[in-house]
Amino acid sequence: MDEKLFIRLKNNISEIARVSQLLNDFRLENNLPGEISNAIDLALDEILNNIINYGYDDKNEHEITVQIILSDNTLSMIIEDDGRPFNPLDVPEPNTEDSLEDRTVGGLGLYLVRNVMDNMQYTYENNKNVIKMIKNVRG
Amino acid sequence: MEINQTKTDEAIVLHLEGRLDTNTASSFEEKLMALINNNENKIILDFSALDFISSSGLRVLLMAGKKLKTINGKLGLCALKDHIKEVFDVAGFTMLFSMFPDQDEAIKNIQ
Repeated sequence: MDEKLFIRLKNNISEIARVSQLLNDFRLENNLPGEISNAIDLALDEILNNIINYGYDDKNEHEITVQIILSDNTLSMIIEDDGRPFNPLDVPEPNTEDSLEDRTVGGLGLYLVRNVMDNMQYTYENNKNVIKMIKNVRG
Repeated sequence: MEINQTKTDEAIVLHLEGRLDTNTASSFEEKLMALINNNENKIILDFSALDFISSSGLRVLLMAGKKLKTINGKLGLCALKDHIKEVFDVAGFTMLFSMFPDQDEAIKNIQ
C-alpha cells in the first residue's frame, strides 16, 4: 500500500525547516534509504526556496502544497504553488567546469534537483505551477 | 546549524554541525565573511558533523573562495560525508576547493 505525506505551507522561508522535519519523520516511519531521503530533502529545499524567494509578485500570504507518495518502486513528489508561471526545466544549466573566478551559482539549485531526481515534469494547471518529480526506490 | 570556531597557530577552523540550507546559509555567510574581512586568510571548514548542504550553502562557499583568492588566502574543506561530497561532485565544486580527509591533513596542507 502507498504511504503518503501531505504538507501545506506558507510562503515563508522559515517553513522550510518544518517541512524538512516532517520529511525526516516520514523517512524514519518508512525506513527510507539514505540515498532517497537525501535526494528529496535537497529537492524540497531548492524548489521551495525558489518558489518562496522568487515566485510571487506580491507580498501576500500564499499556500504551497507538497505531496509525497511512496509506492513499491518509486517515490513521487508533487509541489504546487500559485506564484507566477515558472518552468524550472527552462532554466539553463550552469557551466560546472568554470574556474573559481568564473563560477556563478545561478541555476545551480535546479541543476542539482534535476540530477538527484530520476524524473522531473512541469505543468501549469488551474493557475498553479505543478512540479512532479520521481525518485526510483531501488532494492 | 551550529558553528564552532577554533583558532590554531596555522588557521581558523570552523566546525559545522547540522544543515547548511536556505535557512542557515545567511548566518554562515555572515560569520565566514566577517573572518575574511578581518584578514583571516587561512580558513578550514570541518564538515564532519554536517548532514546537509543545498545550493544556498554552496553559494556562500563560492563567495568565500573567490574573496580569499583575491587576498592570497586559502580555504580548505575536510571530512565531507559521502552524500555531501556527491553534491559537490554534481555541482562541479570538487575541483574548485581543496578537500582533505580530516582536520589534521587540512591544517598540514593549507600552509
